[in-house]
Amino acid sequence: MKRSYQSNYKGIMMIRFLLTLWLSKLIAFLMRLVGKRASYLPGSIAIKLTPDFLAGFSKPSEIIAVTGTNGKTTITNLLGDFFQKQGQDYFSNSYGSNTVEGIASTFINHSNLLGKTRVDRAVFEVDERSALKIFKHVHPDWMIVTNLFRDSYPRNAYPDFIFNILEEATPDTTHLILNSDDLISCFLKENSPNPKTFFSMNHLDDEVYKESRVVDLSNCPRCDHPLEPVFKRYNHIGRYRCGNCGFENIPGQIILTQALEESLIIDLEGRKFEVSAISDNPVDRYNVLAAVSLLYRMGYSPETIACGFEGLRVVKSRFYSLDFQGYKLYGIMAKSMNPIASSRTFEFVAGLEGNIALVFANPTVLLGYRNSEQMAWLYDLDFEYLKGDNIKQFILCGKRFKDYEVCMRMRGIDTQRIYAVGDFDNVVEAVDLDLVDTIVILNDTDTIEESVKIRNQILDKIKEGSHEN
Amino acid sequence: MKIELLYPETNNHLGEKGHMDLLHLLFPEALFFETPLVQTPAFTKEKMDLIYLGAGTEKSQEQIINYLRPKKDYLVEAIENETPILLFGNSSEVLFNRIDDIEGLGIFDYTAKRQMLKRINSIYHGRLIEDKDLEVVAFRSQFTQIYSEGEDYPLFETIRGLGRNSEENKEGILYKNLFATHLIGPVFIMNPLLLQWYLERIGRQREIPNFDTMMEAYELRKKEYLDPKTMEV
Repeated sequence: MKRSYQSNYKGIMMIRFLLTLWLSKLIAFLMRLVGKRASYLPGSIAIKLTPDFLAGFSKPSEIIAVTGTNGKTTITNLLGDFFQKQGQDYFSNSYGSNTVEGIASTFINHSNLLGKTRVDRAVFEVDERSALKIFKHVHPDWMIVTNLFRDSYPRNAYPDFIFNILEEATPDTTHLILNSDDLISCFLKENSPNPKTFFSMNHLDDEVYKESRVVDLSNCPRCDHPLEPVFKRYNHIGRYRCGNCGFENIPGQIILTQALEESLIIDLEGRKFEVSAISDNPVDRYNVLAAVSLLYRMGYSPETIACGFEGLRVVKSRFYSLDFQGYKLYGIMAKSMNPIASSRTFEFVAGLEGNIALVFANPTVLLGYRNSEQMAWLYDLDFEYLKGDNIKQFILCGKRFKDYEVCMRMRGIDTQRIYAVGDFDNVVEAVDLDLVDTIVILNDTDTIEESVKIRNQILDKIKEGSHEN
Repeated sequence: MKIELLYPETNNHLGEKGHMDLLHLLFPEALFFETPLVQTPAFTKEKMDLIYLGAGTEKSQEQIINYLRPKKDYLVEAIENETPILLFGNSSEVLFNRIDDIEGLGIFDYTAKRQMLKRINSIYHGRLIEDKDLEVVAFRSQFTQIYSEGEDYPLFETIRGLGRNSEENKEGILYKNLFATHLIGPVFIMNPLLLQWYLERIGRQREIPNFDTMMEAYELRKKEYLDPKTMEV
């Protein structure tokens, strides 16, 4: 059943909404004509003209939100791919902004001239910092919260701050899909009537714990005493108990019990089933588990879910690997200012075989004169993961390359292996193709273009022939 | 030498892990006490040569106030005895009279006013009041503005960026050997000359590891901050 317009959105307000909608649709149309995606600007202009713009739309009958620090995009894409495979219509902001402007742009692009959405299901990746603005008018029926970690200091401050935003913003009717291995986000709406489903991952045979530098919660949330680990997975993710007051994690209802070579075994409240894995890192396992938990609660059978997940992989802009004339190149997202995601990437890189050149092409470049990027987050990174002998070159570029160098020296990275080159265009020269056979380029969402350029320059250098491995 | 890191499990935000590393690198011979929230601070039992507290959350501020209130006299004694004390980020606020309506320890006559949905982010370029040739570059990222309510012991004066509140160009507290600033960076890593000055002040001069590279980063940033095109926020 379609939701109706908000009852107080009538008369002159509705006229204002419609005029704004038509103008923003025109802007979106013109942007698409020149090859732009229109995933932010039309919504941004609309909200400036009509601050409660989102209130004017009739909403789809089923809204799914995906939020949390890490994993939002992957889960949103997984859900989108699943619905597509089922032949079920949905609309999403998966290729656009996840802020209120992005959500508004998504509604503009998927509604008719009266603001009625054409499809009855929406899947939104929601920036957790923007939840207050978004959920004021867009009430999710379902919401996955992947996890809460420290993220961009200037924007997100720390997990407590984001927790409080989500706590306040989330309607009491939203069914929450929560990670019970995360002792921060799992307590969202603890004292509210929201239906909740908790997912969890058992300690798996192939898991090797590496001490994390940053642990966002190490004291008991009830009595402040240090928590004792039952097992630690990464950072504060894991199962814990308090020796002082007996506190422990909420039990999971949907549990990942086993990881096979290319699949995961999930216990759906007593019924085990197998689903394809999208990669073998724990973050992606949680992503699959969260998506499966939601779909199961929505009423999809395990067989349908398993079928819908077959062959799904992480999108290319976040990860690629290619073999070229005996060299292996990787491109991996390591978002600037997000220390947890970047450290997980470090862990992956540390496990790679070969002699590696690691290119840090992830400092923000778009800031220009607008601001100077805060570098405090560097001191939260797990550089210790990168001290293995397989990493022969650390190539530092971008505006903040000297800050990287200071930090890495302080953390004991072999100074002989640090190549602080500054300009992105100097990277290719620094890559020593006689010394390395594997090149890993870390990029931010802002530096995809630069990292692709670096990759192509390296491929050209290999192609020159003198460097056939 | 004995160094106490107070509450490192909660107060390690905004790059403060870097300052903890720095202390270990500077003083490899020191005995470090890492005191968790529920444990009685070591400085209440024996003399410390340096006490450090990094940036935390609003929740940890309230916890610290509650845990430190019964130990306030020991802390006042350490401050008055010229024990070097380093307070970074919002940690100094626990020593103020108030943080909004929360009663602080009342050791310094300041108050902090929070604005939780309007985070203050800014570059910071200032100079040390005690040595005005010494310029400081850093960042500010916080929810509070600070107001003096009595005796004021400012540490820096601001050249560019925001001061301790939207009207004042002062920043931080320097009282005896207590050094407190809301600036982040980490401040001492980003400002090796300031670190050198503080080490001399507390009588612990020594070679700073990676000093030359730190200086290169410092000069690059200072040049950027001096460029009027670089925006403050």
